[in-house]
Amino acid sequence: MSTNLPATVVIVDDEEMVLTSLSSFLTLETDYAVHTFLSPTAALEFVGANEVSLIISDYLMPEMDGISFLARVREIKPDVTRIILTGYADKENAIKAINEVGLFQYVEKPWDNDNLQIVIRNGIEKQQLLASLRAKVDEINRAYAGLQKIQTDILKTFS
Amino acid sequence: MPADKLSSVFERDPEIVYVTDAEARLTSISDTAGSLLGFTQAELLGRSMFDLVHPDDRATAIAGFQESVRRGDTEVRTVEARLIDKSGATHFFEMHRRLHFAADGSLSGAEGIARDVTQSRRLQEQLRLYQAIITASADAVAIFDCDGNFVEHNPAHEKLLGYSLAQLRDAAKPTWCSPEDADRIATSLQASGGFRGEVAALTKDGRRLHIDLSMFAVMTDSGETRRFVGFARDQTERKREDQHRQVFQQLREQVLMMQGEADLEGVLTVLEDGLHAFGIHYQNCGINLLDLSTDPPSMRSRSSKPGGGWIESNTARAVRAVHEMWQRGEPTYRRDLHVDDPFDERRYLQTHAPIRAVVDLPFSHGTLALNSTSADAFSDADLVLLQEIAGVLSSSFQRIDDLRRLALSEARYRTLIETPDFIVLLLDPAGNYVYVTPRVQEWLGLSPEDFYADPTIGERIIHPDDVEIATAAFQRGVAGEAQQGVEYRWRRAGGEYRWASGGVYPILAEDGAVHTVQIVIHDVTRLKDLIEASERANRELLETQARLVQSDKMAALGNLVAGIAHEINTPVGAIHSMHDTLVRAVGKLKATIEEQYPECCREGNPLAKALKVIDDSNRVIEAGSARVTTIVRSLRNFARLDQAERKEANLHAGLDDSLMLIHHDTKNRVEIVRDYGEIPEVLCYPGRLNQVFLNILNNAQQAISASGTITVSTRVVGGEAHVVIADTGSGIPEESLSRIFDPGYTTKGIGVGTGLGLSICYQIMEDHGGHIDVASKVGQGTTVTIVLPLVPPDREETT
Repeated sequence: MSTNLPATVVIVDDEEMVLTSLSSFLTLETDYAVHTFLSPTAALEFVGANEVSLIISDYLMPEMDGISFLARVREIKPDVTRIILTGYADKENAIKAINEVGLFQYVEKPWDNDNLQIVIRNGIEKQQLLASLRAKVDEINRAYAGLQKIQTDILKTFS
Repeated sequence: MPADKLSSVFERDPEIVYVTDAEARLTSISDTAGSLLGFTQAELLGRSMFDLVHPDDRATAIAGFQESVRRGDTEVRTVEARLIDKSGATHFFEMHRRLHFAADGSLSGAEGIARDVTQSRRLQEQLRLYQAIITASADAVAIFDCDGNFVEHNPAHEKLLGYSLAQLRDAAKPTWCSPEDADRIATSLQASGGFRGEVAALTKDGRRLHIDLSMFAVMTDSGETRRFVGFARDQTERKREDQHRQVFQQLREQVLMMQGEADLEGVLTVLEDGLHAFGIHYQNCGINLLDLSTDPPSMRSRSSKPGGGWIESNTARAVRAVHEMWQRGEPTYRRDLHVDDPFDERRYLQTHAPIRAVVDLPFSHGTLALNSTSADAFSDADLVLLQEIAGVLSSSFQRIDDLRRLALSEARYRTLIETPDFIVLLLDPAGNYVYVTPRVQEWLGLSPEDFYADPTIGERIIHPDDVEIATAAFQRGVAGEAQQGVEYRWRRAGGEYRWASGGVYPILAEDGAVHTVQIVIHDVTRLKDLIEASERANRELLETQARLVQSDKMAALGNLVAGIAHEINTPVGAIHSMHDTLVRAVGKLKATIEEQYPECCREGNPLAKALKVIDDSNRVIEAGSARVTTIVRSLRNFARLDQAERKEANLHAGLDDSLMLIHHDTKNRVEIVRDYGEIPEVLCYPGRLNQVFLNILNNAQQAISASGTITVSTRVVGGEAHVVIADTGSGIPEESLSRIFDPGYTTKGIGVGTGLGLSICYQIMEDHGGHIDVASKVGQGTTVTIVLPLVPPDREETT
């Protein structure tokens, strides 16, 4: 898979140390463009305005919980891979949320960096595949539209 | 008796003619001597005349003879003497003799005629006897001629009727009996020559007598009636007594038949007949019944008239009068209301008849009252009789009362004794059944006869475990001790046992000895069932409550743990991740330094030293964060909120998690020995099983006061997983051992434990189809074995 630009990763957590540790690791080991946010609202703004491949969000946050946040992300950018990171033990609720919102992955705190890296890589790949698929579909659509136009013109000419 | 009456006898009797000499020797005798005395003429001639005379009469005969000789008596003299015949029998002879004297005056001989008068003398004797008997007879005897005139009578007759013979002879007509009776007697005499029967006689002083009369004709040999003889006996007294007896007998019989006041009419009828028989004449006879239960007393009266009914007395005057007379307790006799009217009753009583005399005789419930239109109508004898009748009435009414009371008390007792609520057994001290309530049939399916027939029936129908209790209770009853609430089981005929609660009551005889033992038994089976059900319900309630509390606690704990885990996991996650990143960063740093500045890596170089410190720090940080991670995971696993789910779980993981949670209590104090065997994953509720492990491990570590060992071993034994948790703690006293699973039982003191822990464990293991066994010895420790089937019984999922 070739990419011209490094993938953009957004991390949202109300804890500075989590943001720091994650961004430090990703910066050290990958070439992703990592953007961290303490506020989900700010994160949403960023996602709305930029191309983002993947979002990692905390589950419990004072401003907005992770599920709601990711649900909003899906509304504005459906192709963005969404990962939730939680220290909360209530797996049942988490699974319910995954099913409702359609998450790519559920990662428990404390996480293993290597595992997380694989998850992120897969997530970005998935996003990029989706993106290129969408581009192809668009191309086909455009071609189809062009063909339709030609057909219309031919019909006009011979009519 | 006149002599001419006997002349026929003399005429018929032969006589002996004899002649004697001067010495009284028989010189001649007639032939008749042979037929009269049995001697032949030859045997008698030459013998002295005096030889024939009875020795007792001989001296007198000789003396009379010599006296006549001395006086020279030549007249015919009649002497009587007894002669002895040849057979020795005595005959009375009457002898007429004349003496002959010679010219010189000397006795020359005698001649005489001897007549046998034995027959006549006997008749005379009898006649005298009869006369004496008749004279002395207590029966009246009278002799009449054929015209009915009195010829003779005896003193008893005179005494009976009061007439002298002269008065009787002078009377023109028979005055002593009624003309009807006179006719009756005459008819009978003419027809049969006799009469026997009762007649009424009238005495000279006007008394009326009942006489038992017997009359017969006395006839001559030719059959001609000469006289009538009558014997009379006064039966008046006997008759009176008979009547008295009869009347009272009837009264008593009537009274005995009386069941209530309604039957009084019969009594009154008999009473009237009796009064009539006694010759007591009255105008009205009645009974006044007082009812003292009201204030003032009320009264009902009943007349003897048939169908008279009861009259409620509405005049206070009459009630007061009768009450007063009743209280006096003796007859109140108003002899003549015209002279004395103490109760002001003349006006009242004389509305229908001119009543003069009234008498009231008190009895138990009122008075018997009689009145008459004649003043002074009742004699003293009448009053005595009436009092006697009042006495019979008393007894009759008291008997009615007694009957009523008896019927009432019997009914009450019977209702009581045959009530379905309990059965009554009466036993003699030897243990024989004297009385058994029929209700026992419904209760045990046995009849009272079964008990009467077999005194040992109890041993067969009482539950074997309870025979001793029942027997002991009975023996204490025999010893005079009353007991209550003796509980034992009886087997019904069908085989089902019923719980009985018995009271044992000794009944004492007059001498104080136990006469009968009364056993009153309630069927408390239902009660027992209820108590058991309520105990069970109570236990279940406690367990449910315990479970609720526990599940609340668990839910709260789960939430808490989840929250804490989240709070801890965030920094731990950051540390863990950061540390990893740091290691990687340091690794890159080292690689770069080694590549670009190899000299710096040599030992003793300060940079190399610093890198070594960084590596050591990283190791500690890694170990620390790993520890924290493990604790949080254990905590989270333990309090997992997925406990409602049944799933395959590793028991060892659960045990390890639980041990981790008690770690802070056991480290450096209690040695934990894990002796885990090969155990497959078991389908269970892991969260709840962990609760059991934690509870028991916690108890184990609490039982170890200073230091000790907790050994956790696991094995598979015949399709079951056995988790054995053994401690070397203080142990559980034997008396507490059976109660440790009871909800609410705690030895830890209020505030330390809820007392619900083990009961919850017990419940959890039951839900798993398993159980918990506890063995303990004080001072040595406790071993708890948790038994869990590897394949749980198919049961509904419980929450």
